[in-house]
Amino acid sequence: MTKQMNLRLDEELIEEFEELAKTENLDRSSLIKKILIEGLQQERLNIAIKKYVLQEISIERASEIAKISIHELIAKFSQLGIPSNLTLDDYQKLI
Amino acid sequence: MDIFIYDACSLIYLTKINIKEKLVFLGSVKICKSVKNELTSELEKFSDARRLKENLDKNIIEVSRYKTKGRRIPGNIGKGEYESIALCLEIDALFVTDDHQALNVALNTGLKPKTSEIILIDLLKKKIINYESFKVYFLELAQIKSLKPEIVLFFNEKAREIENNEI
Repeated sequence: MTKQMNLRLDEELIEEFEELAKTENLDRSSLIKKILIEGLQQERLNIAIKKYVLQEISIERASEIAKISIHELIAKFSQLGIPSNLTLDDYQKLI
Repeated sequence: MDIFIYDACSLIYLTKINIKEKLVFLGSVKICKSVKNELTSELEKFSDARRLKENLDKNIIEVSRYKTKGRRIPGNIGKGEYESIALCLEIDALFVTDDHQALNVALNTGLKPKTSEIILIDLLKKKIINYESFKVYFLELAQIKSLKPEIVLFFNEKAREIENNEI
């Protein structure tokens, strides 16, 4: 099921969408939809990573927010060089 | 025999460094149903997921049927981490996690969790692996987890103390 959503955008931005749609052989709506989906996925990941780095959430909760598997999230952390959120203080409590 | 309940991230890290097969020498390896679902997702894409699935099929990793019915999961940890902690409390098992939030939730319930690094230290203490192997496994783990230098130093020192029989 789809729902209609009205957005007010700057003329320049609309022109940019049209230009890119032509290059990609897509209609304007399809291109905007594609960008929205990709942008939403990326934003979910950004929020999850930010919260993880700030030690607000666990790695598993981050994967739930990002809506990706924990395997995928660990791979992303590795690619981006994001260190484990465990601290020296955490380890000292355990040993 | 001790029972170790692993969460998804710790088991993935230990799989990545190829030490998963030695975990049974410390105690039985158990996971919750929700952790199993996480570990075996995206089998086509991740070789670690396939290796873990093989271990699950051979019952080297046991899956608990425990369920936390109707309890509200704290917003800062995931379902698998929460169920793992609850299961540890229920059956008096050892919780293994590599996450700050999960670790602190577990500490607040009175559990004394372990991390992948501490599992390596335990393997060294029990002479399941030797000092040279520890160094290799730990270096790989430190790279995968992008461990901070002070943490690397801390564990290298601990391992040296064990090697020199100071612990």
